[in-house]
Amino acid sequence: MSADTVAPVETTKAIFRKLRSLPENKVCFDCCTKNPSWCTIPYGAYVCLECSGVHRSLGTHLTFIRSSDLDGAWTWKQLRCMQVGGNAKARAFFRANGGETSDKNKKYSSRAATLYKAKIEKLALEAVRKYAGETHIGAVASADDSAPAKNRHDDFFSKFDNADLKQEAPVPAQVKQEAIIVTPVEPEKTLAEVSNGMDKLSVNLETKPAKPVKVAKLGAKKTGKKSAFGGAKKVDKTAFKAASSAAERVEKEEKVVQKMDSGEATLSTEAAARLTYKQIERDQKKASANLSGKKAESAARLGMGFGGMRTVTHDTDFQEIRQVEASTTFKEPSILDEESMGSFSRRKEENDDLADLYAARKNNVSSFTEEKSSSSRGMMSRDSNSSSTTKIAPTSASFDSNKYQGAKAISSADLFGDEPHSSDSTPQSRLSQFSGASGVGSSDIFGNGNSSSSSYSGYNIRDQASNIADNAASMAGSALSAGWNAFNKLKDNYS
Amino acid sequence: MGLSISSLFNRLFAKKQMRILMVGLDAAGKTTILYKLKLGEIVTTIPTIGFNVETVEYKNISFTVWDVGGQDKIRPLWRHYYQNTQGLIFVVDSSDRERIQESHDELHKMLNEDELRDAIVLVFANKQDLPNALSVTELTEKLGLNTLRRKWYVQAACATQGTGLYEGLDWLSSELSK
Repeated sequence: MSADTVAPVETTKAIFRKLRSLPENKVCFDCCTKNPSWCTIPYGAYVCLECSGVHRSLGTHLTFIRSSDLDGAWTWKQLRCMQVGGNAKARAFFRANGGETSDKNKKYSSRAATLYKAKIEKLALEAVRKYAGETHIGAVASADDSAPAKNRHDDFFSKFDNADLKQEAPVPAQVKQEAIIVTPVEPEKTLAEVSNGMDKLSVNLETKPAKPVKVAKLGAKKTGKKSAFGGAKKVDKTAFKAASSAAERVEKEEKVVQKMDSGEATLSTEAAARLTYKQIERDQKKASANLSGKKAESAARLGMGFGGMRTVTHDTDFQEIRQVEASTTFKEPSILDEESMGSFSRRKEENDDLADLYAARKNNVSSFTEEKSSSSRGMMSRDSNSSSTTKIAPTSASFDSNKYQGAKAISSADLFGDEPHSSDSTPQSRLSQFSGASGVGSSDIFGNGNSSSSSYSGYNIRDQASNIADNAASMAGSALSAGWNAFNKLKDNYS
Repeated sequence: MGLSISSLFNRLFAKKQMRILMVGLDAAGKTTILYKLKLGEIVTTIPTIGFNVETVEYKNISFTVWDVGGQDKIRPLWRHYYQNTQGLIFVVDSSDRERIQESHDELHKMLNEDELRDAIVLVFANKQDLPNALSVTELTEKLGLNTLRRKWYVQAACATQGTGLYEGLDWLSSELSK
């Protein structure tokens, strides 16, 4: 299976269902429109309809747009681009590398854009190799397909213990993975189990705030959840939503603080490094926030049975964790982070890679039509079309492109003469006449029913006739207006 | 006598109608071309979901141009516009070398349709201003037009600058008046 093989429609659907449900992908990458459905594939990001129009106007050398709804034939490489990418990642990278500007032309021809494009392509190709034919990549796959339901909830809380232990690790991948597996909570969980879990959760929350600045805020968050816990019966969707949005607000504030922090850094490399660190920190905190969300929910379950709210709350929590997870799966310390470390040599390497990549790509492109006669793109049933082309191959082989070098147009008449069904002429000899022309037509190549000169003179006559007609009309018009003027004058004089 | 005069008059003054279907892969520039022809200016377009239709007057011919969306799931809808189509404008993004084969396949699939057997084919090699754009010669080869025994014409164009568009219409009108 190659990167250009078209993925099955069902797989494509499943992938997009998953990706588009991630909170990060629910806002357009360029503006703030909700639920974007258009994909800029080289950046693995989602944009809205309006922004996709702007992207398309930039040209495919900068960005390539496809619709997750209206385009069906996605190749594996394109899908992997979307999977290894994501709006959050792209945004972080553009921000870190100074590629953020409202001018989209500048934004997507910036150095940051080029780098990010190369990175996504590299990751995507790796993913294509690694997960041949699998629907989801990384831990997401195991969460979806493999783990049986029973194990899921057995592992639930023990994993949070692990989380406690591994607190200092940047992003405990395993924990995250399990967090995903957990999310569909089984209603038949016993009370003891749950409360046991709750204890661990609270312990977890207490020990979690490792960074001094945020302690107070985390505490505030916690009390919010606690009150929800106290009134477990009263907790409903809206209450939880309010709590989580408050948590989000706090998080945003923290981000601002972090930005200010990084602003103080004297060396840009240091700043970048710190940003990376903060990113990790943020991720950790997100995870802990999610835990508290779960806690609240468990409480709700304790109080009032198992219905209703599960889907809403879990959905968001579950997504956020998974997103972090995905970023760690492909590059352990994440290539993104490494780069934002700002090590110059590293960047140079990247650029070299990039150059190689581009060179390889160019080669591919140039050899594209020769090598891939028909099979790889698989876009449509190529039955008679492709076979007919190959049959007539001798003719097409004899098409001498040099002769039309610089032509602006070519027609069938150029190649075959004016009679489309006579195959007497040598197309290439006719082609030679059109080097430098901007248009070439069938009559130029195959010929026309009547001689081309006569046809064109006929056309000229017609042209002239219409000119005459126009002149006559304009003369009539001017005569009319003159008459009208005279009439008005008379009227003025005698009234 | 009167009849012959009026018929001559009609011949000279009445506008000819021509029904044109404009198709091509997504993001080839169909809508931009349509509105450049209609309004003479560049509009900011969004992907066409469905179709646009405008009449363009040129050289005493009234072109009714149907511009149909090109996303691959809505390409099967093109065939609903085939009936009575006299001219087919096929727009290609010349700089999108990776999808030339896809363009080739779509074009030939369409030209095999019975309803289009009499339609003349104008190919706009659009986006000539972009780097690495295919020339009309390359495009003629890559689209397999050099093997195509019907009336076609490849015209280099750049919709955003308005170059080449009227040359294309010139060819259409000259073919129509034959």
